[in-house]
Amino acid sequence: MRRLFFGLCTLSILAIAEAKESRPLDINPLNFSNRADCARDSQKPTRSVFFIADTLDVGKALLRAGDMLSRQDTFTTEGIKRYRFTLQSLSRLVAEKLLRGQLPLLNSKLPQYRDLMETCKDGCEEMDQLVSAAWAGKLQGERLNFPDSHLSCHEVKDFAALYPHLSQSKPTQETLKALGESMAVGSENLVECGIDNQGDLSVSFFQFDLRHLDEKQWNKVGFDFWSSFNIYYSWAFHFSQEARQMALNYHGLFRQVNLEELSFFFSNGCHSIARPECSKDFLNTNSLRELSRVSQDADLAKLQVFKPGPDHEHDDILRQDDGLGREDLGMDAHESATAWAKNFKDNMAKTRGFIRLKLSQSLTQLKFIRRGLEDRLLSDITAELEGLKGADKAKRAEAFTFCAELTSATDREISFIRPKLAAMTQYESIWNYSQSIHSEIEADLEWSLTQFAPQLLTLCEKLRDDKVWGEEDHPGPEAFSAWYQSFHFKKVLEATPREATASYLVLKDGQSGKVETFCMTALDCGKKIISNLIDLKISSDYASSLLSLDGQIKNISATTSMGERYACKMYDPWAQSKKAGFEFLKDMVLAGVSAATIVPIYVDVSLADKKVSSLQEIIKDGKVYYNPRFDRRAVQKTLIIDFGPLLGAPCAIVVSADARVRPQNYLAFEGITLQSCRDFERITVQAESPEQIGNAVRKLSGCFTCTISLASTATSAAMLNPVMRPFFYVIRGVVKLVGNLRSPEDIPRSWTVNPNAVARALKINGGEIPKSCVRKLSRGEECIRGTCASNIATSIGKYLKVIPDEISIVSGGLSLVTAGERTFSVETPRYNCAGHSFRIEDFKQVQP
Amino acid sequence: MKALFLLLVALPFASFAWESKVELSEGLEMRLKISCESEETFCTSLCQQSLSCLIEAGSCKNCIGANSFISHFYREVGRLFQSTDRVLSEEDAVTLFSSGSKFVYLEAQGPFNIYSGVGNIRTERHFESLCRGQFFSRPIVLAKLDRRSRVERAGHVICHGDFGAEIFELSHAGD
Repeated sequence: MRRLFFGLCTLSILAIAEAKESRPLDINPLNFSNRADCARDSQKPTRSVFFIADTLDVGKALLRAGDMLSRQDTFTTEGIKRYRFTLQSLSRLVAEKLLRGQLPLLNSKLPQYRDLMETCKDGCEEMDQLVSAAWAGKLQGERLNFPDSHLSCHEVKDFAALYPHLSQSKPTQETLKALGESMAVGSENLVECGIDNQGDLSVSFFQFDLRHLDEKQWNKVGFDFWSSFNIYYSWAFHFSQEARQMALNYHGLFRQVNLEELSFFFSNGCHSIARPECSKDFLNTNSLRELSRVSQDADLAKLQVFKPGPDHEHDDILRQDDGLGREDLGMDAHESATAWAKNFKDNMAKTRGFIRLKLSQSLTQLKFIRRGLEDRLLSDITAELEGLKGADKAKRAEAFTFCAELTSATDREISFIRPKLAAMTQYESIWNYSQSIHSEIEADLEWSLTQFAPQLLTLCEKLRDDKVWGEEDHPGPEAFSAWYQSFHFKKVLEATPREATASYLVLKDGQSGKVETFCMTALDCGKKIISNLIDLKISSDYASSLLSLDGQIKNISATTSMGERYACKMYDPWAQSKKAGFEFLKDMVLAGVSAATIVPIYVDVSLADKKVSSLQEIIKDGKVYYNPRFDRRAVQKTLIIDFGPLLGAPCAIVVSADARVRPQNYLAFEGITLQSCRDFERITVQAESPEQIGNAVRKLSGCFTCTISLASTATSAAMLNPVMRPFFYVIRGVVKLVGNLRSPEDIPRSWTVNPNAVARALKINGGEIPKSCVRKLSRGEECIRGTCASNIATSIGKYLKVIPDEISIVSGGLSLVTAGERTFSVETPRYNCAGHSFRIEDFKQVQP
Repeated sequence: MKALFLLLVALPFASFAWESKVELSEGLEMRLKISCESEETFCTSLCQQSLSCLIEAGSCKNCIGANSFISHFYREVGRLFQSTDRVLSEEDAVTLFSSGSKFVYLEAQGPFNIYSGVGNIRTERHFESLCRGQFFSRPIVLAKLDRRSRVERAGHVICHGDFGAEIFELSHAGD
């Protein structure tokens, strides 16, 4: 109704005087949400994203192009400005074409697209042709219909206090005041995009807001919008006429920019860019959030991706505690938003570079070893292993580490060895990528996985069974390869350079002719093969998630990890609500039962928190997904025999599957307790496959308890009284329900704050946000005294793009609005302000 | 004697004397200018009876920025990427350019080298190590694009000398 009211409002400017005023920002309201609501919101598409683009490489290319053409110094800076302008303008163009139905959505409802998704996951010429046809209007398909919407673009210069929703669950008076103050200088922190409006040129950091969307409709199509936007944007950047026109004389160079690898989207809040899924790609990509808060190389090196050894990446999510689900994005650690974005993109570039290097090195080394040693390595290692009995201590230790590493590397999750070649080829994108670096990768892996590893593994197992090694042969951690140390000892000892005492395989530098020992012995070469297979697996896993091998811009779907936790069933936003309802229902049932029977035996059933105990890896359509496995104890059953009513003694026996259970939980009130409990644990080892060994612990507890207190007397009294007994349960049920529903983080709650309304409220109220305004502003409403003035203020902001300092009603259909030194005389025919109890004195407090 | 020796060395190349240069247009479109001093069959075949022509570079979607292949190439040129003794005949060279394959042109100081500073001598030397014998300078690497406009592989290098240019096949160590 309110929206309709504003929509009907027509304002005509009668007079405008020269002046300077603060303008409202064309940005979306901020969504504050607690942990549960954040998890719930992660299932909805975002309307606001950050776009970060690395412009450094473009600058370098421009510098070289300028050098070739002997252009002036400004060629490069003007070029970067034009590049950023092209990115901004193209974003707006693509988004608005999609929102207004000028382009079809590229989703599963489009048969041509659906077919291509099966045959060219990593992109293909046919996909480019399809997008080209869609761009030219030659393709039918589902179209959006948001005629009034648009994409607003701002360059983020300083976070100031404009993003409190990223770190807080709920808006407070202080938050709102800081937000309002930041808005007062909003144009300095968030600069409207444009060719002349540019600051630091080394990185582009934009905020894109999709404005005026119908929320219900948007939630149905938003994810399709973003995936389509990504594809169209990428295509249009390289091939469209529009991009050519935007880039002017720079187009020949810009279209060669690897935009997909040099930029990424980052959702502004809990809503997601892509529908969260419990997959390796999704988890890995989103874990890049960590890069935002790391600013030192030493800290960066501590991240899992840089560790030499494998890890079960999903362990990170399994280990996550029940924090507020709000990651620190490290915004406060940087002097400006640009500095933050620069740090983030630098970290991203380092991470991607590291993965690329690791992948390329492992492929090169595998090839080098196979080429040089294919005909003799197996027999040489076999000879070394079979001759161990008479060998010296060093050789025995070397053989021990070789066999230990080979055995460990057969773990399915950390290498390709166990599932052999098939698993590697299932990573389609990385397989194609690897083949582009080395066409013979298949032969290298075939040899490593079907000959080298299985034959030597069998021999190692035989040696172990024969007890060839004794305790004295076990070397220290330093004797193992770095990946093994990292994986098993959780730290990597600094490698001391070994002097080459022998040369089994040498590496000759093509340029300098210098010869280096690559491996000293056959076993040394064998360990290098294992290390390279492990490196290949680790870098493949990360490469498929972090490099844009599919030709699309990567996105960090949300600013919090709640989406992943929800998708992997680590967190259920409805759990607390369900629990509250269940507890209440249970008390109501108990009330009913207690009214019907005098026998004080109760069977209590309560919901225990479901906990994911492991994530099972499943490869489907070339992607790795995780299937969560739960701790099976979902329901706890408790039997209580309360002797109070029968014997007059406030004692009870409780038998429960949960050792933590306390009898008082089931009685009405607590008192001083004498209690004896005993736990019995039955542990069974469940093993379905070697890598899924877990201990299932079943607990049983028994308690004998006597509670002596006024409350227990009351309880007993209550229990003896068939009228009072149900009454107590009802009271307790209501009290518990209220308590459970008050949970600040686990019952979904959200607040919407319109930053422009906050700015207006701050101005109108003399630089303060009154306490009385907090609730209104947190509902996204205005907080200006008088409905009429409030409506006028909103409309003024919307239509005239100014934040008014003062609004004066001159007559029924005419108002004077002061903003800075400008005075607007506005006609407001739809507002019959004279009919409202609006008083001009309401605004007097803003006068100095 | 010396003159006779030079003449003998120059003769085999005189029939195939041409040169090339990478240029950027006003709109920063990259192209390879091929020119011959006289009516060489190479130029007349390739340039439709002209003495020179421009071969437009293909549109490459991932040549500037964090490209896996190009960064790998600039890092490993002269080491893992080396030239071979295989020289393209005039006929093969014409076929290479007129086959419809799209190329981008990589040079030590070209716009795609964002991995070393402008004027970096080391990169120049690494590139020059791709050239052999009489054809020792101004190497231009032909990197082939795939059907999706992404760099696929660097297959050939054009090297220049006092008597024109030759196209050598490139190899990647171990291939």
